Amino acid sequence: MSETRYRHARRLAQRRIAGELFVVDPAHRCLHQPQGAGDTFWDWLGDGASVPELVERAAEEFDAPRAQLEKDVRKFVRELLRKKLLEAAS
Amino acid sequence: VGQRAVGLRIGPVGVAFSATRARDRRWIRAFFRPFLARPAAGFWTIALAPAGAPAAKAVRPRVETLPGGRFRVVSRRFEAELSTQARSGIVRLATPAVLGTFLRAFLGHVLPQNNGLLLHSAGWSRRGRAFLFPGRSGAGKSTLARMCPRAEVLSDEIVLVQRRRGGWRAWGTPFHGDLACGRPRPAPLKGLFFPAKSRTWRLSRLTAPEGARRLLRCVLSFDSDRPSYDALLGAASDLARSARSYELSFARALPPGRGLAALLN
Repeated sequence: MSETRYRHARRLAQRRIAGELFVVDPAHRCLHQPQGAGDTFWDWLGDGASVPELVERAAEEFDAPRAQLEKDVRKFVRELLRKKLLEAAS
Repeated sequence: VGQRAVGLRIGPVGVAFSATRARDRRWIRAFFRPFLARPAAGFWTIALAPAGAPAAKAVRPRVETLPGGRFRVVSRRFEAELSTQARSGIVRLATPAVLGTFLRAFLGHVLPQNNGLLLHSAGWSRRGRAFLFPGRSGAGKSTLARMCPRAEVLSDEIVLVQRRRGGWRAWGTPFHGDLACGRPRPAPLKGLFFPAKSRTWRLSRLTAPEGARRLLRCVLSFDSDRPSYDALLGAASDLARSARSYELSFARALPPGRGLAALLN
């Protein structure tokens, strides 16, 4: 998973309403709302990003131990992949 | 569209059903009586035809966007193909009893493209303003719809809203729950009051994102593709930002000392 670049699944509809992100998966009629740092990670994945790239940006953005950031990013990406909200960027 | 057409106007959407079977026309006239309208320019013209083999296994309809501004609505009970540009199409169905389901899916698809939404919501019109109570099944919509005898009930199940010049308006629909109701005329929207069962009465203002989150759970859609949901999110975003949203904690008995309408005002 470390070198694969991911991006938002193309089928998703998304919009910010009063600053809060709403992501709809038409295939499953589900509403998703990445919260906190997840909201930021989600934005970074918009143009396509790998886990190491996300960790690198997170280390610049957040004042937290790198090991913790990597753990959080991996967990977040794994969860999105499980929900099929990400796809491999070609 | 001729003598075999029966017109309906549900909110801002007019539909002229062209039916060769007399029983279909009779059924439409009886079931949708308050919503009957003379077919006019701008109406969708939709032919009703006998069903072929079921196009889908599921009873729940599914709307699929097709190339060229067309879309398909499929269910085990009916199959429809329509053109948004021509505002026409055909529905193949075995019985007119499924027309209500078709119309929900049809309106759920066409309204967001015109700044409108179909909501799981009860609603009243009182003193020329619409009070909506959006909620899924079991939220208390029918209970609240009964609680203001002086108000005109829009629906206790599904209400239609659309942004017009001057703001959002709400219409009743022929889709109802326990109450046989439906008010075809619109009223300007007063607010969205999301019901929460409680032992006490309380009205709390919701932030726009919280209102949007609750609203999105109540939007009726059978669509299955991104462009349709982009339009839906656009309309829902506009509604959540422009309308006042509240959580209405409600008990079984009316609020002591004053009516529900006074509490909401």
